[in-house]
Amino acid sequence: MNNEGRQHDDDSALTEFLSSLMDYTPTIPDELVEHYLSRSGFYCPDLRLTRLVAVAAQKFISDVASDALQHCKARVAAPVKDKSKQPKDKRLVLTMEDLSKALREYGVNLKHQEYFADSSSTGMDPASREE
Amino acid sequence: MEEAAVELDALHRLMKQHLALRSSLKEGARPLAKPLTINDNDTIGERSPSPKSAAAPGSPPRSPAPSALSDVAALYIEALARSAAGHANDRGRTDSNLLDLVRALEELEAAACGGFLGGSDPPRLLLRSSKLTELMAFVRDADEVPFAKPIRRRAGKGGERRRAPPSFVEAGKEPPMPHVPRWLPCFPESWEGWGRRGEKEMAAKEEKEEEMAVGMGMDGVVKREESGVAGVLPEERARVRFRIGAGSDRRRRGR
Repeated sequence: MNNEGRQHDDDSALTEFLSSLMDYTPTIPDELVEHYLSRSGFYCPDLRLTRLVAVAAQKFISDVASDALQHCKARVAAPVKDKSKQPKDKRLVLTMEDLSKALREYGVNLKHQEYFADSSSTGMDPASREE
Repeated sequence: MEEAAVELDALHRLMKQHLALRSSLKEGARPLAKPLTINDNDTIGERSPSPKSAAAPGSPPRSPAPSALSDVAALYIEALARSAAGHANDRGRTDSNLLDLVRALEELEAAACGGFLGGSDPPRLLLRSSKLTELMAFVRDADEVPFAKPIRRRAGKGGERRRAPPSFVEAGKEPPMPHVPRWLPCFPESWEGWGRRGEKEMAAKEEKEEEMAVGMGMDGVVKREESGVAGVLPEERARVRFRIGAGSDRRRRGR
């Protein structure tokens, strides 16, 4: 009887959650989510599932952003040996370095070019460039 | 269709901007410093914003981090959708449901993070999955932040969603080819017409090839057939003579 009662509670909680999704507005608009869903072959006439996908994506991004914030705070809080290199502005900014560390924990490998050179010999010594 | 694609591109750009605003963390945001590059004079200077990254002349360059984050969000949605659609198709359905979505969420979590809570219990109930519980907690605790800009609704029949075409079973038709499953949506009528036309053309082509083979004489000259057959050359043609590299030879010989 206890098990049945618990199951009933779980089912009602899930039903309530799905119906509450109609009142909840995710950050990602429904039209955009439907576009990506249809591009991938996902078809469902129920708007609640579309909202569920939007909420799942929003939660994923929120987790990644939180992890990136932790990495950023750890980097800023680390003691700096050379005080001249210490940044004057202590605001926290999302950088590719923190983002790639955060995404690596979720299995996403994000690489970013550190700099862009105009040609393959840019930056080389003149002597080696002649060779 | 093109208008819909343009609208969606605009939506995607707006979403990137919105995520850029959201990702400006608590202390406030400023654009990233311009990436440094080495120019031809071997001096270090600042790279001018590329046309792709600059929104408008004179505006600060967009930082790549929020852009990358929004791309990851789009790829996450696509991966989730593809997985859920695959689970539905494996069970003979074209419409995905909540269980397919839960399986897709668990699959992504297992692939990305190496596992999820409750993954060691195969006979677990999907509707009591830990992923659903986490989503419920997120909706309950997180602040609701709707999209920042108003979205232009698609003009036309308001509120109606496009319905997928009926399956072969629902339409009472048989698939044209034996390897096509009956639970898939029907092929469009234009396809069926093309299919029949294609068969007729193939049959006509085969008949003409047989006639040509029969009409081949001993000297190897193909007899003139009735007009209307594509690809048959006229019997009498002007003789064409050419030499490869004739121009270079003449220059060498001083002609």
